[in-house]
Amino acid sequence: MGATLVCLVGLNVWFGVLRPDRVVLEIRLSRGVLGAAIGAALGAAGAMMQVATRNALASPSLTGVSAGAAAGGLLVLAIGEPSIPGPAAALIGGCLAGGATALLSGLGRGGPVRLALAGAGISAIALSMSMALLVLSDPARVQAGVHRWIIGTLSGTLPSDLLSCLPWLAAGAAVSAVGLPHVRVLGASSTLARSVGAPVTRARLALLSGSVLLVVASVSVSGPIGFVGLIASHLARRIRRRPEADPGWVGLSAVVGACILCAADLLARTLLGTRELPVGALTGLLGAPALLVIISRTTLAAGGSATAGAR
Amino acid sequence: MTAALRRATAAPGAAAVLLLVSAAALGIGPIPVPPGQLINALSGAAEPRFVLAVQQLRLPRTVAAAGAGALLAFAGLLLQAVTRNDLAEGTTLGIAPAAGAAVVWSGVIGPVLPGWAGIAGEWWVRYGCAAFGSVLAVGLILLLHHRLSARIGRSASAGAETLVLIGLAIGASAQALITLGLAFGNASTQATLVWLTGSVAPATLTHGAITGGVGFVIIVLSRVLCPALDLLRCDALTAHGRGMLVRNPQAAAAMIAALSVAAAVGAAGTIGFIGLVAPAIARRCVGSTHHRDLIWLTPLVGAAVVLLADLVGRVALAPIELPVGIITGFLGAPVFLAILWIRRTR
Repeated sequence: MGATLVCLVGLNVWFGVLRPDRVVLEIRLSRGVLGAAIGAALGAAGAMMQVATRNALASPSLTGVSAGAAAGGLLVLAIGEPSIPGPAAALIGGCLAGGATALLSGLGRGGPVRLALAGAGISAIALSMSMALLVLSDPARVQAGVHRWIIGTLSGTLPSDLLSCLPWLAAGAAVSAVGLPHVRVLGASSTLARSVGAPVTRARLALLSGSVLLVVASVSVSGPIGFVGLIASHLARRIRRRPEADPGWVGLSAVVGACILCAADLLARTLLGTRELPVGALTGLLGAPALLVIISRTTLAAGGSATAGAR
Repeated sequence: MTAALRRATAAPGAAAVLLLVSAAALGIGPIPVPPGQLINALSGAAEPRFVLAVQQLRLPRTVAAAGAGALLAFAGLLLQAVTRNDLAEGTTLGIAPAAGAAVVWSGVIGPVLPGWAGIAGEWWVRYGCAAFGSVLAVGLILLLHHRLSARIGRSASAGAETLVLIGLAIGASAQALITLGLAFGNASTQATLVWLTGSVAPATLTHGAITGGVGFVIIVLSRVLCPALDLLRCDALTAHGRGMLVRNPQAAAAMIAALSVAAAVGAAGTIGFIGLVAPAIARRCVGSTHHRDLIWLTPLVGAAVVLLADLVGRVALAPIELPVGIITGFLGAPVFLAILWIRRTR
C-alpha cells in the first residue's frame, strides 16, 4: 500500500505538467502531499472513532464532526474576525457536533445505525447554519469560503496550507498516541480492557479527541470531504482479512485513506481537462454504495460490537 | 375536549389557520397591504401598487409554498405508512435530493435538446426530470430494503432505522451528483443554487398553479387509499389476514409519494423535513393515527408550516431574504432528532 501511495503522489505531481515549470511542480507537489496527509488523517480518524465508540459506522462525516467543523470555520470567516484562527473555531464546531451526536445516540448504547442517524440530523443543522451564513454575509468575503467549507476540494491549496495544518495534524497524532496502545483490548470489549488494567476511559477519550483534531486539521484546509474515513477503515479491514482491531489496522487505514484521496484528487483534476471537479463530490458519490456494502456485511443490531464479521 | 370533537374540528381549524397565514403572506412585505384591501387587490380593484405587490410579487410564491408544503407533508404521511417508520419522508429517504439531481443534470445535457436547460428550462422538463429522479430513488430504496431486510436487524425498529440510513446514503450520493452537475454545467449556477436550497422566491404563477393543482388532485384522489394505509401501518401479517395483497398498495402509495415530492421539488426545490414535521404535528393535534383523520389535516398543516417559514425568512432579516429551505432545516432537523430520541427506549 505504501508503494501505491508513493506512486499516486508521483502521478499527481507529474500528471498534466505541460511545462516542467518549477512553480507548477512546487504547487503540485504540495497539493499531492497535502492530499495524502488529509486522506491519512481522515482514514486514521475513521478507524479510531470506530474503536473508541465500538461502532462500525462511526466516521468523520457520519458523526457530523466534519459538518460541524465546517460550520464553525465558516462562522469565523463570515464574522471577519482575524484574531480567531479558523481551525480553532472549526475545532469548537467539530467538538460540539460530535458531542451532540454522541449524546443523542445514547452514548454508544444506541447501536451503529442510530449513531449515523443522529449524526445526519446534526449535519443537517450544521449545513443549514453554513447556508444561512453564506446567504447573510458579504458575498465578496465568503465567496472564497463556499468551495472550501461546504463542498470540499483541494483546488487552490498552496504550500503554506500544508504548513498551517501541520501543527493540528501533529497535535491530533500526539493525542491519539496516548490511546493507540490500547486499541487492541478496546476493540475486543471494554470489560476485557478493564480486567487487563487498561485505562479505558482515558484511552477512549484520547482516541476520540485525537480523531476530532485530525478531522479539524483536514477540514480547515480542504473542507468536509465525505466518506473517506468510513471507506478507508473498512477497506483496511478487508485487506488485512482480520476482523479484530489493533494499531496496525489504524495505520493501514491511514495509508488507504491517503491513497483514496490522492486517486480521487487526480481524477477530479484531470477528468474534465480544463476545469476541476470538487473532490468532495467524487468521494460523496461513493457514499451510498459503500454504506450499502457495510450495512449488508456488518452486524448492525443495536448494541452490536464494531467487529465486521467476514461472512 | 373529547377525542371525537378534536377529530372533527382539527381539519377545519387547520384550514382556518392556513387561510390566516396565507393572508399574512400576501399582505406583509415592503409594500404592506392592509387586510381590508386584500380581496380587492386579488381581484385587481385596489390601488395599482397593492395589485402589483399581491398579484405579481406575492401570489405566485404563496401558492407555490402552500402547494409544495401540502405535497411534501402528504408524501411524508404516505411514506411513513408504507415503511411503518415515523422517520421516513422525502428528504430522509433521499427522494428530494434525487429529484434535484435529475433537474440539475437535465441542464448539463441541455444544449443537446431544445428547452432542456435545467432550472432555467421549460417547466415540463423541470417537473418531468424531478419525477424521473424521485421515482428512480423510491424504486431503488424499496428494492434495496427488500433485498437487505433479511440480513439487517431482526426487530422492526432496527429495520426501519436501517431503511432511513439507506435513504440518507442515497441522498448523499444524489447531493454529490448535484455538485458534479453544477461543476459540469455552467449556465445559471446562482439561480440553481438558490433553487436547490429550497426557495419559492423564483417560482412563477405557472409553477404555483401546477404544484397547487397537482397537489389538490393527488390528495383528493388518495382519500380512497385510507383503509389500505391504515392496514399498511400494521404489520404485513395483519394486512394479509384482512385480505390485502401488501405488495401492490405499498408500491402504489410509494410511487404516489414520489410524484408528490417531484411536484413539490419542481416548484420550490429541496425543502427539507416538512414530511416529518407536518405528520408529527397532525398526529399530536388529533391524538389518532387513523389515516381518515390525518389525510386532510396533514397537507393543511404542511402548507401552513412552509408558508410561515417563507414569511419568517422574508421578514426576519429584511431586506436580506433567507430561503425557506434554510428555515425548515433549522426547524426540521431538531424534530428529526427528537423523534429519534423518543424512539430510543423502544
